[in-house]
Amino acid sequence: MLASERRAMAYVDPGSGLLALQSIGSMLAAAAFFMRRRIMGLLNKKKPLASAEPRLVDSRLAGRKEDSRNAA
Amino acid sequence: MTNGTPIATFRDPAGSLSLEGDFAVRTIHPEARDQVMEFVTSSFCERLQDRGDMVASAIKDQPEGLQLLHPKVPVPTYPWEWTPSQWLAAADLTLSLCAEALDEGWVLKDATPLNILFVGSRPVLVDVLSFERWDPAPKEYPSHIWLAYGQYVRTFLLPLLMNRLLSWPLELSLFKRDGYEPVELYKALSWRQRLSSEAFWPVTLAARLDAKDGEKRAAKTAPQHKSPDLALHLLKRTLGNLRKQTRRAMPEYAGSEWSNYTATLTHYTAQESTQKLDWVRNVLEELKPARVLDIGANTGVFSALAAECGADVVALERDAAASESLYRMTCNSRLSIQTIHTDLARPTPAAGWENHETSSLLHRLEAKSDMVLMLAVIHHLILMEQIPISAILDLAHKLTSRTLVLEWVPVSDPMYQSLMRGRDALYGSLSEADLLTACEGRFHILRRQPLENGRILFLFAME
Repeated sequence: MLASERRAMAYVDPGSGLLALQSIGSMLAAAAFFMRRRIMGLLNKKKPLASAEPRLVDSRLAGRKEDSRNAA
Repeated sequence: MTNGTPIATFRDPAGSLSLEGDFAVRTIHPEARDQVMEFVTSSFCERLQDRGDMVASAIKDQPEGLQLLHPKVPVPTYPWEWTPSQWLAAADLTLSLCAEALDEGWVLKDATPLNILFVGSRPVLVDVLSFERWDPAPKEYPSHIWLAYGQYVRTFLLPLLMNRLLSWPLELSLFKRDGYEPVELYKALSWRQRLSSEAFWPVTLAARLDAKDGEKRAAKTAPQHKSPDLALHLLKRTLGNLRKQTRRAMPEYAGSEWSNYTATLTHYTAQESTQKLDWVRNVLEELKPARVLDIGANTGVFSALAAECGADVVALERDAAASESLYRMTCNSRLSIQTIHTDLARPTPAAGWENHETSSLLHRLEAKSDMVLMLAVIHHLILMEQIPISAILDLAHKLTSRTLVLEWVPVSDPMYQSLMRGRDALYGSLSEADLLTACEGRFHILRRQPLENGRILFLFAME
């Protein structure tokens, strides 16, 4: 019977105020995360294209390049 | 002795734990079988066990169900017997394991000090079922929420914080299985404390949010999931913030009555102290006890001596600052010493449902030691706790399986005189003869060494 009751949410009490508190903390951290990313984005724009991070390259394009190298 | 082995645990829907013979046996409920098997056979689990951060498990997969067999910890201790640094070590382990688990696609579903036991000075997570697969898109709550956050704050952070701010003893956790609610603490704090950097976030803000019925608001809102990468980032930030808050909640312990006891011995000259150390060392080297119980260990000088002679030591100390100092010494020296902050005259009772969820201290200590050390402690029990000598010897007889090392403090001793406080008629005529009478039928003398300050060291063997 205990097992069938599993995870209405969790078996430990998440609290109400503490749940809201964690949400607020996460919202603040998320806001800081996006702000930091935006600032980094602005800084990166000012840099020459050669210094752009590899992850900004379209992965499909990267795949094609790789394929062409393999074909050669 | 009373209040024995705890009954099988019953709160975790994934399984239950019972103590059977030499093992702690965890029976997994069928619904949780696959996930538990996935975890216990994972390289992550193996890594934690190899490192000693999690209890070892032997898998017993039978048609009637899955069981995990864990080795028993010889003398388990509970959070109400820990010093603040032990709480911090347990909290650090919990948070760091959760952060590491997230990297491997797992998460801790609960976070309570009751999931941790100490082996020597080292905290070990013993609840293998605490790990579950991390769900990047759960149905009931946003993916960046750690469900055990509330339990961590209530059971780890707030007891430490109240110990720091209002000197509420950590021993009170015995009566608070699920810790403190922020609302109840908010009422106890002054306005200045409510606005302090340590208390504002976990107490004041949490209590105000609670008052606004945050649960209803959360229930009305459909969960909005962040991308898995962002959710992981936020979860790790949450864990990092909890770690910082926990460190800020640590009490600032100054020296207390006994914490500098061994450093400020007014009743022992350096020569007398050396004489006592040498005698005890000789006894330890000759008898080579495997397990030693040091009662009234103070800052652990003799516990360390026993550990250096190869014994696994359990050190009892009732003074908070002295036991804190003792635990820190064991961490620095890496000696096999387990610190228990408790008062032997009022030992921890069995607790929980029907007094059967956790066992009494005396039950856990009974006959677990080859040797019991009672150095400079008997006069405290006689004069401060008013325990009869025969009762003290009776308890020592139950706790040791072979020998007892006891320091007799005569009436003329300055410490005895200061503790007697005018009760000369009752305690002014106690003598060595009374001690030896109390030993009859329990112990016989193997060695007797008078010290220059009038105290006498005895090595007794059980009858």
